[in-house]
Amino acid sequence: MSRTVFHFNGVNGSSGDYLVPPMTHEMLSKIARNEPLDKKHLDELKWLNRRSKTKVLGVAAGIDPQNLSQTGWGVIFAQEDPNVPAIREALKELLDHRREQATRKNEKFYREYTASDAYRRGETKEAFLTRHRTGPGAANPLRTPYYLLIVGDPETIPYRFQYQLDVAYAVGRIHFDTLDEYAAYAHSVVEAERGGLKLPRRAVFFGVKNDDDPATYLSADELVKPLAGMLGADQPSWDVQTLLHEDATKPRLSRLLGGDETPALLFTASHGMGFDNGSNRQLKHQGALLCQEWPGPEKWATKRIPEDFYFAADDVPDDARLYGLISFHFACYGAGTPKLDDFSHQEFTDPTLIAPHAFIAQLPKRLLGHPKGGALAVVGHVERAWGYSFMWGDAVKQERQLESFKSSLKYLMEGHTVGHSFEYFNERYAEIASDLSAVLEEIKFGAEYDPLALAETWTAHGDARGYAIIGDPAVRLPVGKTKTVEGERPTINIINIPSAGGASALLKPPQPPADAASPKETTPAPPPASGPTGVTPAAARGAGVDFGLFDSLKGSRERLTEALEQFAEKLSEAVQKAVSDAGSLEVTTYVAEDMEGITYSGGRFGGAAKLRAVTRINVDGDTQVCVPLEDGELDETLWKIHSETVQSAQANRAEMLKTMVSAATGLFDVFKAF
Amino acid sequence: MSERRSVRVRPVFEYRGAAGAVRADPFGLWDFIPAPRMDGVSFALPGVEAVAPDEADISLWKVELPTDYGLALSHLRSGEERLLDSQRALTVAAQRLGSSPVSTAEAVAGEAVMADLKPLFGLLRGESRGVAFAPPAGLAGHWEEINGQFIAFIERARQTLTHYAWVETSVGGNLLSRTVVSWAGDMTTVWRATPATPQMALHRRSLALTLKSREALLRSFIVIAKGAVLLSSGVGVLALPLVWKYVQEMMSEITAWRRIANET
Repeated sequence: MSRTVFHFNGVNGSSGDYLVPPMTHEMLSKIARNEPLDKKHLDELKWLNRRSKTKVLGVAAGIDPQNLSQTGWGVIFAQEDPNVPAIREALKELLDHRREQATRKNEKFYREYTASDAYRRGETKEAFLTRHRTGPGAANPLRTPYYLLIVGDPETIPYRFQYQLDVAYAVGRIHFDTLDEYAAYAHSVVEAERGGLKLPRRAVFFGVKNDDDPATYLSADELVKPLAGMLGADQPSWDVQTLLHEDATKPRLSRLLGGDETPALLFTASHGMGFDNGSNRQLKHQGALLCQEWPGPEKWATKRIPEDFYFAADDVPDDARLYGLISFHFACYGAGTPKLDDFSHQEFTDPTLIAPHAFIAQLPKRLLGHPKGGALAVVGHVERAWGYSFMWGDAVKQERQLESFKSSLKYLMEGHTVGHSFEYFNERYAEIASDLSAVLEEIKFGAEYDPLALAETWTAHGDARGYAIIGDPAVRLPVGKTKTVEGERPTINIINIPSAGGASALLKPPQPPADAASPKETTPAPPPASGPTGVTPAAARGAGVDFGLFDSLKGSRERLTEALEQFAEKLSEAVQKAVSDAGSLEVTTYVAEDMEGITYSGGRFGGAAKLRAVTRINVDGDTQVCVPLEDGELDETLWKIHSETVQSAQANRAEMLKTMVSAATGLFDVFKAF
Repeated sequence: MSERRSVRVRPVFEYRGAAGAVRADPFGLWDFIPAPRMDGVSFALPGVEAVAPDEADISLWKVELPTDYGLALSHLRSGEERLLDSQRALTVAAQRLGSSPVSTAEAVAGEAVMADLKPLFGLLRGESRGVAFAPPAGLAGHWEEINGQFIAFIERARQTLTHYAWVETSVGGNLLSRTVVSWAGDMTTVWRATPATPQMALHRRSLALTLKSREALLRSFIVIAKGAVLLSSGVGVLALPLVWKYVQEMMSEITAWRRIANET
């Protein structure tokens, strides 16, 4: 069996060939069996998979994911990034805005992870969250906000961290080359939300269909066309336009990305440009969108792909009108590129370098950081996008499966945040990973398997994992109520940031620490030899010496014991007195015209205070009441107060005595146990 | 763009105790005001001439209410709800320590809190190196902080339990009533003239709130003691501060969850 079934949405700009040759399912399944899967991450994916069956996405039960004052919002910087103070300043407008939204009910719901709280090189998502007192599972905004914006390049804060964090949180990322772009993006988001930007409800689905190219034939016919049809029917308040095949040219895309046809929501499906590691076009153009101009593999063969065939960051002019756009690019490397190949199909062992360093694609950066008002978010794929990710079935028949695409875009069109909308992709990733894990486990123990089914599962797994949001995950489509509006799309003013080094100057790249060239795993030392039962921590010094803790434990224990003994002494004394004095309860009421002239001595008020009532209740029930009369009349109001105080004192004494005895018993148990 | 500003306002519920007692109220209701110690009495109380030795270190609980009766009631109601929430949270914490099932949101909070304490338990048990959480140096400092806070809590409980409570209610800055409650429960009250019924209610509720706060303090000790006995294996008496921390965090988180739920 050697049928070729898997195609990838990427074309090598240098060679003109496919980025990854079409593969047989046997090849893919072999890769799948060699793919290492992280146990803890899988456990969390399984949890998300179970949880998704209850239709709850991301945050803990009872929290509205649309309301930042309930979900919280946070920003994560890299500890090693020397530009953080300047970037933070450039983003101030956005940070202040999110702080104001997130802290309306709780100050803890806004977090800035900087300095010692920032992401540390080599840190996993689990280690990061644990350091911030957060366990796995649903987002608990009291510990870590649900919306998290990563600020930094993927070399400093890896894509893997983003994928993992994205399972339970709504995560986005930004990274620009200049402070101007940071400030422009911050201004675009805040202005769109505060200034009430109301774009017409218009969505465009752009599907390239290159000749003789199975990948784009499939994406045009099975993804773009049906998706646009479904959403058009489902969202009658939207104008949904489909541009396929001969309409999917570069000039047309220019009109959609900053030109006169720029919609509120754009969905594109095409090949993404890829280049050889080290190519001078790689950092600039990798992830650019290959348009209809490419005549397809048969006609073009293996010639260099010219810039005229694809839409890149360079094609977005300074006067582009992008303000408020949210764009989804289904294409290889549409969002970014990792440094290492996640898909080393040649050797199945060590991943190979595919770029000098991990990076975000230039096109989304240009769209977001545009000085006239940029896009609010771009959703795309890191690494290669799999053409069959929206198809599912067996060797005989495959059917489209668009639920994640449809649900995410539907949510987006209905006003949900981009981070929450794309939880459907996280769910899909969780379910597929969970299934894949189970299959691989069985194979490990000798079970027979279907290579095609395994290949499909693995392909979809990698594909679902790779979707990433470039931008703030809390943004949403800024649309009005109508499908059209008069006049041109608005723009906003250029931002000027005071900066010593020049805001448009390139930021310094982070310098990894000398010993961090290749991040090392922390190897736990072997556990100390088990001591005899009852060995105290202070005695178990072997494990504790390095922590500088056990030296102080003896002192801690002594102080603790002393405090407990004092407490026990007083408690015992109080209980004894309470029991012995339980024979009577005295309640006394005074009145004073001048509260300043009151004295207190020996348990009695004096001076300006006049005694008005005394009640003494003895254990045998005998009650003595002493009430002076005014002109032979009882002061009814005062008597009422006094009587209520007597009742309160009785109830309080009974309850307090019970509690004191319980506390004494608890303390006794503590001493007995320790 | 609007910035949140922290505005210092006079606290409605004040607790004035001897210097050295824990400064934070475990229930987040009473603001601690440290009082300088004076000869014969713990601090200057108006009109106090002399007190018996065992009456020294009187704890003063002051409730300062506005003149507007509705607003005054609202403050009291808010304080009562806060204390009630804390007591409920204490019950949940006790259930969790005893492995009883709790609701989802509370379970989430509990897991996060326990995740904090795991490394400390591991460290104290000598399992430190196998536990991959916060940096060790941070753990040591964390432990010292928790232990210090727990000792202060014990001191506060001791002081509250064994000394007289002096409860004052003021309305619009004028003292309305003062009640001295002995450790055995005797109550001596002085009122400004004969108060109107609504004013009586204000002090009665202030007094009840104070007494419930005292009792809740002891109840939390009971929960901590029981939890520590359950979790003390390999840690001994050092489990007490950790369980105290757990209960504190749980109360804080569950109270916050409830507040969010109530506001939505």
